[in-house]
Amino acid sequence: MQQTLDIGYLNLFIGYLLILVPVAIFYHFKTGLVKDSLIAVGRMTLQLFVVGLYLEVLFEYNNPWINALWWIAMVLIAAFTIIRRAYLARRFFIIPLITSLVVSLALIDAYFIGLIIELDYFFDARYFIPISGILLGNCLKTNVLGLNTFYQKLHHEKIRYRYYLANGASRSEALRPFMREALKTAFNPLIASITVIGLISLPGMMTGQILGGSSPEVAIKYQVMLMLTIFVATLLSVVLTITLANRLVFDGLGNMKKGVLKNNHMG
Amino acid sequence: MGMSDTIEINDLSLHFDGKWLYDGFSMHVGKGEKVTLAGESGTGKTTLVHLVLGFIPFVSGSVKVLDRPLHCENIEYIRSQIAFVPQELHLPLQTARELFYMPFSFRQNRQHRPGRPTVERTLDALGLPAAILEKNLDEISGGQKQRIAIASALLLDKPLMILDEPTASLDSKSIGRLVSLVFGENGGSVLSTSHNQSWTDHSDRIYNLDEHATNT
Repeated sequence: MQQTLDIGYLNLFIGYLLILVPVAIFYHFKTGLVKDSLIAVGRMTLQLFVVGLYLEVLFEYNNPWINALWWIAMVLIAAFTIIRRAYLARRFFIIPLITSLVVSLALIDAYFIGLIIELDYFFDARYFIPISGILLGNCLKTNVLGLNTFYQKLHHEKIRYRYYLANGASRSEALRPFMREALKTAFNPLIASITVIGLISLPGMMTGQILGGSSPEVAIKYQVMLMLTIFVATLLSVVLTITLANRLVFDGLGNMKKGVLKNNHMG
Repeated sequence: MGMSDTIEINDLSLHFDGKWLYDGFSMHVGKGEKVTLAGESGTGKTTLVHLVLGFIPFVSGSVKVLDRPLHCENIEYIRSQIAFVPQELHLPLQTARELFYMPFSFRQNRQHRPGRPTVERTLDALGLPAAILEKNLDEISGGQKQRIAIASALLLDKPLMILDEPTASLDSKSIGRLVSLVFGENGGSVLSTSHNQSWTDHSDRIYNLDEHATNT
């Protein structure tokens, strides 16, 4: 297998100079985004280098327990991030989110790594870590969109929800239109990106594999499976989270409890 | 007050949006009675309607709807016996037909789905042409939308109909039609909110909430 060419640190520094372009443009238009951009790039650098160090360790030991622990840590970080970004109250959502992420990720990991790739050593860091990471990153995006749409709409369109209930709809019948709208909002972007994949975007994993020396044919097979598993894992996790959380966020009369949404996003 | 009251509220105290709205309020709606809640805006007419539907918690007192206490275990039964039309209704639907048939899509109501002649007769009685069902919702007025929802509520044929401000966006001719349909030909109980004279004149009983609300 052909090795990818390394990037020297001086060259990396030259690469970083690219950030001057957005900084200059944002500064010129007084967007107030200069500071945020620099912080974002700084965080990215720090996070990736730290992850790089972790990954070195993970790859060196390649121990199932350490790998599983890493997986659990990623799930927890994702759950907390989703709650914060979707402006939800932790006490109602943390258990449903962790449960749904664990269930959907475990199922899809097992399907992809165990059944499709037929890897002998399931927890092999080279497969287990990056595949779970990509799935989880996508779960994060769709859950933020889906949960935010579902609960914000329920809050802002209370009269509509009440109209359904007060005219004989069961709880699940009254919630169904909101679920429909949340799924549309969360999955339109993913479906759009699956539709044009390869045409206007070469996906990261495929590019990475080709750069890493894989043949395009192998890279394509992985990419296809990856898109399918992302599709299913994200959908499962959104539906499962909402279903589980709904057992906690409504009172006995079917009303959304106070404090489900974070105040700074209401009004 | 008797055993067969459709709505029975006793000694209700309600704390809403940080203030006391009612303290020791009682009212009842007998079987088949048409009762109207009147009063200035801000006296909590809509709040009271939403309370009867189980959407607003109350601090103390008792509320019974169709002889059952308004509790979690009865709420599904109670709501299944009601048809409700709010003052303003924004549903993400395309056509007036979808709006009309929306409540009939719920499992509970499917057997009441009316045939075309019944629908046309009811719409006509409310001064609406049958062709209105073909229109897009953005082509018709708020008042027309509300009347379509009321037509739908009437045909759900429930023991209790709750109408929030059904007269607010109607002209006097339309109100006359609505009065004769809702108060005349309908045997069920009706609880509504309105301050329209001709509506309150035809009601069996009026509760003027100006006198009851503990306005602070």
